[in-house]
Amino acid sequence: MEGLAATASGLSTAQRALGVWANDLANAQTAGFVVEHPLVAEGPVRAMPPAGLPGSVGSGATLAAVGRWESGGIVETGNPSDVALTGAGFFAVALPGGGTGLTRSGAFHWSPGGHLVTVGGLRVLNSTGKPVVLPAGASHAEVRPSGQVFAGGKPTGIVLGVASPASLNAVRGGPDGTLVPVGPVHLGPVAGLRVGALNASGVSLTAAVVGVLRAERAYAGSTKALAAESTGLKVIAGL
Amino acid sequence: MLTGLYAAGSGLAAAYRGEQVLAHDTANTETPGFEALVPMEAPWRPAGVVATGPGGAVPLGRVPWGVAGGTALDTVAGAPRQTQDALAAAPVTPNTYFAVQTPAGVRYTRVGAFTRTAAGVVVTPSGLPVLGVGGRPLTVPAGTRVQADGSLVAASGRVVGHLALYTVAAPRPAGQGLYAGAAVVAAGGRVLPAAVVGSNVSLSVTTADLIASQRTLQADAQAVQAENTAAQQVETQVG
Repeated sequence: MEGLAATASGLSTAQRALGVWANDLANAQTAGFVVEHPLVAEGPVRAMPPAGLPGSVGSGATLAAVGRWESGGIVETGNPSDVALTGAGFFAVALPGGGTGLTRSGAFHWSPGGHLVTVGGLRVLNSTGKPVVLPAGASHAEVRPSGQVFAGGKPTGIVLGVASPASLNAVRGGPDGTLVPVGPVHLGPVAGLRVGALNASGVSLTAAVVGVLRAERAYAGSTKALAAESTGLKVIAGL
Repeated sequence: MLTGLYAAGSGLAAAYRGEQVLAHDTANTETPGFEALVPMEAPWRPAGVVATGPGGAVPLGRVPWGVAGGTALDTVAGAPRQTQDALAAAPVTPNTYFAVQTPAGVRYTRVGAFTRTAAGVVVTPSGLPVLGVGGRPLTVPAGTRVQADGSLVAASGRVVGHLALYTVAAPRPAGQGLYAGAAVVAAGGRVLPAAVVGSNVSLSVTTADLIASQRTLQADAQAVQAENTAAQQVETQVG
């Protein structure tokens, strides 16, 4: 039955790869979206029993990891509260259940409570990991290209935080399109921002469509192998 | 005695094993760096079939012919595919492999989908350290890129390491896209930066092989049945 198991692993790996590429396609227009791409790997292989010729029996394929590409251009929006990272890294936000989420979407606004928040209402963190709040008495503040927050034309001492990709190990998906790092995050001051702009989605439509087509082809191939395996087993069982 | 039945049975077993191998190949149609296992068959002539009883070993007769199944490895590299990972590289010179450190010792792979851990170590998607020239793992700063000669150049322009490139004479599959075998340093080995070697499985060839294998299996099953019928006739008419 090893052939059936190998085929099943092929089908499930192709399906998971398809899901990753499809999610990329769906987010081709999402600001700051970090592209994910499946890293498919061969499954374990064992040597054939010594009776016949030397050989190996394989167990199919697995999805070894999901890689991430954060590249994507900057698009001007003209909205003064939008900010785009000019370099690598992520904005940090406070997650509802505690912990820190990361995003490259700088579509921020000031909440009625005086917090700088994302489109989904998550609080943006400063370089020391505290939520960015309006100073007492201020009704409005602006983020400057240096990352500093100014109120009434004066610096408030608050700088937006950024997590550099070099400091990150593994990440997983979180709420509101954020990435949640595994392990501690080290925040530092933002190196440079473009105000009135957003980081575009990193999705290359061509790459995502080709990915979908390739995954579909692998899936179709494995369905053929499944049919062949099933017929073979039926013939043997019918003897 | 019953030698035809053994011969047909061995053919059936080899054909089924062939289907399992092809199922593994099909599952890895889209696996980077995968090298297809090719089902092989050869005449099989065992020393003899022996039964062990209270009086010692009793030779039951020789099996005059049969088929033994095994596998060979198709080591022609798949076509390279572009990626956005700066540390990714695809060997372009023939028979060129990277070296990785596994718990079982040094193994060789064509999958150059390398990334860098938080500590700066260059690793494979499954987290195995990649070896540099000199046989030691590589530690590089963020922003390092691979050059065509396998050298690793930091954002500052400084060379921070060299990926070790080897020629593996007769690679044996070790699973997960890794191969074992006697390796020598590949003099003049070149890589394509920001690319990953694709799978060398040709879905059309594998599907055709699968169909051929299925037909062989059916024919062998017919032969088993025919031998069985003949044996029954001998039993009823002669006995």
